[in-house]
Amino acid sequence: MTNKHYLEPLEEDYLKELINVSFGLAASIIGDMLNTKAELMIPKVSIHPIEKLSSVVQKHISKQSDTILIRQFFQSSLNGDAYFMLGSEDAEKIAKLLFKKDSVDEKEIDGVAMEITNILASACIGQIAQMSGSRTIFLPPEIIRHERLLSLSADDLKNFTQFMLVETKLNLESEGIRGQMLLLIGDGVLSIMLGGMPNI
Amino acid sequence: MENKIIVIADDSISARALLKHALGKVMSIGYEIFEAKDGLEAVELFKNKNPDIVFMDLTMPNMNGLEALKEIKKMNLEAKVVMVTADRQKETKKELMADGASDVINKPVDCDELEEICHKMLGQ
Repeated sequence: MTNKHYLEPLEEDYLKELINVSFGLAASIIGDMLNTKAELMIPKVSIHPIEKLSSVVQKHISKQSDTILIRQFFQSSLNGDAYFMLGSEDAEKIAKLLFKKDSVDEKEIDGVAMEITNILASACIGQIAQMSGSRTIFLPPEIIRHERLLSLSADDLKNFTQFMLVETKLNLESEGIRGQMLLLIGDGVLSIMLGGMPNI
Repeated sequence: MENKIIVIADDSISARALLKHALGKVMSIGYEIFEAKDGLEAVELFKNKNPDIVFMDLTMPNMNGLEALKEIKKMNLEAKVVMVTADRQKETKKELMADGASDVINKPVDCDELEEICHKMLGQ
């Protein structure tokens, strides 16, 4: 089982390629949804021990004044928790594009943040599942307070051994929107994710 | 019959391996593959190997796929360059075709689509 907390260069290359492919699909869906050209930059992918979760989240949250955190569970043979961190101002920009309005309310902003998370997580984890011949089922996304992620106890995290951090930037019209996805995974899940790696 | 010369340009070694694997499934004639990890290497290989077809990733360091496509087209207007991209937006395909791409194929590469392209471009 692969529970190590780093990726070999080939593993990193493979996961980055998989996520890049899936984000291409996500960008196309987001572009269609907003009726504009969307471009997701090549993601940065890294893996960390679960004990570092709080410090990594803190680092990214502190870069943005106000962060919306969205959680989505994925279950079955490929399982874990996906979290997406998106700046409130960025979510507002997307909501304005979607609703074609100069001002949007909190409900509309939250709705857009959840939809973007759903698209990215489904595309990304769905692609990994497809390539590795595994199955996954998504539960609906929900907004949580980021303090909740920072204060998860050892008991909350007992099913996880590591997490994957995927950092990306979405270019929409002239706006650059940054987001970070965290995939919390347990024993053996990384091995499943790497199951479709070609022999090189 | 001489082997067909194929260049695969992609900065990801995994992506190159996956495409090589897919070509192995669909090619029914002899072929030789040369690999480039960026646009600059792809242009060099084009000069030196005169390939029958180039599969070019769009997003690469040093020189991206679009710049490499334009360089190759300057050298040979008839060059067959198939752009390979994760970007599924119709606009992207239109722009690449307008810039001289022979075709555009999306990642992950679909073997049926690849077979059709190889058939059309290499007459296999």
